Amino acid sequence: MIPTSFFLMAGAVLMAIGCFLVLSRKNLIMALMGIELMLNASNLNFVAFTRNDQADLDGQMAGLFIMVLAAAEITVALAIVLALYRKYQSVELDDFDQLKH
Amino acid sequence: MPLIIGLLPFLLLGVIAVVGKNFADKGGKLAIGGLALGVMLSSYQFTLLGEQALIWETSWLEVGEINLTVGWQVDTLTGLMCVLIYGISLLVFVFSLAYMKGDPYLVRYWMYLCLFVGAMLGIVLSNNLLQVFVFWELVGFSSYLLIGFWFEKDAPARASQQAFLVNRVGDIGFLLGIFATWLLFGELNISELGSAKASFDRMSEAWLPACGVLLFLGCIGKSAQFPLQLWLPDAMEGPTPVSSLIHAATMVAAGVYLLARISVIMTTEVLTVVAVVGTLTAFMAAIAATVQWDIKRVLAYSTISQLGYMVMGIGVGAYEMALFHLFTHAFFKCALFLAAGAVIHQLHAAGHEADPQDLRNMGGLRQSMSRTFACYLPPALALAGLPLLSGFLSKDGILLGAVDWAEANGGMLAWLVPMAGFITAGLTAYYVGRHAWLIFGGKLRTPAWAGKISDAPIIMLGPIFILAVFSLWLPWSWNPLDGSSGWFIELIGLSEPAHSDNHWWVGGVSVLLSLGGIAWASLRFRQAAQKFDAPQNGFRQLAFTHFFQKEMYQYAFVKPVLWVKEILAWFDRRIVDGVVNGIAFITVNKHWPYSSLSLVAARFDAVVIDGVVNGIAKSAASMGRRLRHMQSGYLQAYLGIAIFVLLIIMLIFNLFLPNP
Repeated sequence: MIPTSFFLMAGAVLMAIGCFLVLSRKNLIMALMGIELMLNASNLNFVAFTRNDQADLDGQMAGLFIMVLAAAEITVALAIVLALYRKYQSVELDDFDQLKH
Repeated sequence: MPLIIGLLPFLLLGVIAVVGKNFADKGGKLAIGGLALGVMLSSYQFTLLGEQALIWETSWLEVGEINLTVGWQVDTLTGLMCVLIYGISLLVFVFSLAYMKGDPYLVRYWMYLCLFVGAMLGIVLSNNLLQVFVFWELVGFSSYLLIGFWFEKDAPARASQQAFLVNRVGDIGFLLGIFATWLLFGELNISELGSAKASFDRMSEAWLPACGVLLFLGCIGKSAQFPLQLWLPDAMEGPTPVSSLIHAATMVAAGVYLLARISVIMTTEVLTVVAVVGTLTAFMAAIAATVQWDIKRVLAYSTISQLGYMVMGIGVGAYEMALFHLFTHAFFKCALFLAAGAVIHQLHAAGHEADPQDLRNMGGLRQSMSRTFACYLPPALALAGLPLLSGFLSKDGILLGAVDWAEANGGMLAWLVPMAGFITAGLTAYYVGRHAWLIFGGKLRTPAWAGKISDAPIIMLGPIFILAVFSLWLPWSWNPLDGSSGWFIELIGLSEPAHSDNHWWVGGVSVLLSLGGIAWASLRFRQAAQKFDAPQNGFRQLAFTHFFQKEMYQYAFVKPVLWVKEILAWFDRRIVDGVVNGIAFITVNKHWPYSSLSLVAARFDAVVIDGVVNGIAKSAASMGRRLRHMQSGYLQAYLGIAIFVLLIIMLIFNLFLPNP
């Protein structure tokens, strides 16, 4: 059986990649993808921890919920991206600096 | 089934609220139809009842160890009460159809009535004290609404507030009593209180009587017992059908019913208190009823007096008889109120020359309102306690119970209870005779009305007639002289009816007293040209004001509050204002040599406080100058900082907090 720590490592790597994407990409869509990766990283952690608790599948339930949540969240986020595009004619993150000026 | 029976009035309330205003009678016929259905349902339910009570309950809320339930319990008594409440309400609703015709707020009227009926059914059906309390409050609230139905006028508005407040006093006692019951037994379920008491022995000396007295307080408030009875006469300001509903089935009965239900946990001392309070109430109210001039007030005081009988009956242990009296009284008192309402209504229609509620303006109505008179007479005689009528059966039973109780307890003081009961019986007959003579006997005393008075319409007379039939002996018992052999006692009676040796002389004495009272009344009030401005001697005034009760409350509670208000106002004006003005004088007066306080304060202000404030502002500004470079305007830079700080916080937590 694969040790739980492997899954946790994979989750951590996914989380780091997602974080890096969010912080580095200039394109809003790419940042959203990073957010999805981070969500999946946490999901992986939930499922991994459930392995130690076979009787009570709380973690898997949480995983299912997160999937649904992610689907709902991305629809809203894409709608926001569209709205932003209408306003700024761009999806570059650095163009959204209205608060500063 | 009980659920439907209990919720039907609330359902009607909702329906009338939504669609009522579209009908010509504002939903009245709808309500009557619903109640007729209720009568049928509750009668059907009654036929289903066997030895075993229908009990249903479910968990309501659990807090720690406490588990509260809601539910209902339908046994024979409850089933009968449901039929009674629905039946009387139906008749009152039909009567209202004629009485309240053309009132601008008729929708509201039907809604309140439905609420009232529903709340009362809730009390009857509930199986635990907390749920009873909820409906108990609802009854109080809807009676407040109904008494103040004509709230534009001053008197009904005041009366409704008074009823509400006085009831609150009793309700607080009731609530405390519920707490005490919970504390003592850990049980609020009415049907299990008896067994809980049987298995109960710790600290019973002090707490059990206290608990009983507190619960009794609730009954005192709701059933208008001494010393909280003053709200009931003033409640006459409401529409007459409402008064009859309050007096017959829906409000004052609640207290007696509850008392009968919880009498299992009452100790002997508490029951003695109950008996004494009941006797006192019965006696005082009967005296007050003998001198009132308002057609409805006489009946109101007589209700208080009869309720006193019932409470006394429970106190002396004749609680089947008390409930029997509750039922017979419900019918004949409702009939009397409706008859009085019919008289008021017809006199009102005859003209506005005189007050249609004042007995001094009436007289001789037996000619012009002969059918109303015929319907009025049996219930009036039942109230007076003549044989062959229902009132005799039950009142006799209660008096018998009181005599037996006094005999068992011994002592001269115990005999005071049945003695006062007998005197009250005589007084009752007297004021009933007076009431009847003043309304229907002699000649009409208001010339302006002569020839204009017509008999009440059939829609009013019908309900009164049905109620009048129920004030005969036959619906209750085959034997017109002995109520304890009737079906009611057989159904309700848990104990074998005691065949006491006292039965015959008790019945004889009460009949003699009733006849004497009526004879005395007819001697005094037969003449139509009676002078009513009789000298206001001390006794008459005492009786008219119901032993100056209102004045006493005025002095005991209202006046002290006003005094305290005066004292506080004085304190405010003199002391508080004085101190404030004095301080102002010290600080700002230029001519006074020691007034440097304000100067010192000004220096302090300029140097220290301004310095601190400016310093803070300056430091904030310099910090802002240094930190403004962080505000790059790049979203990802902010996010990066946020994540960085989060990581630092997590690191700190990992390093410094012990790992679990």
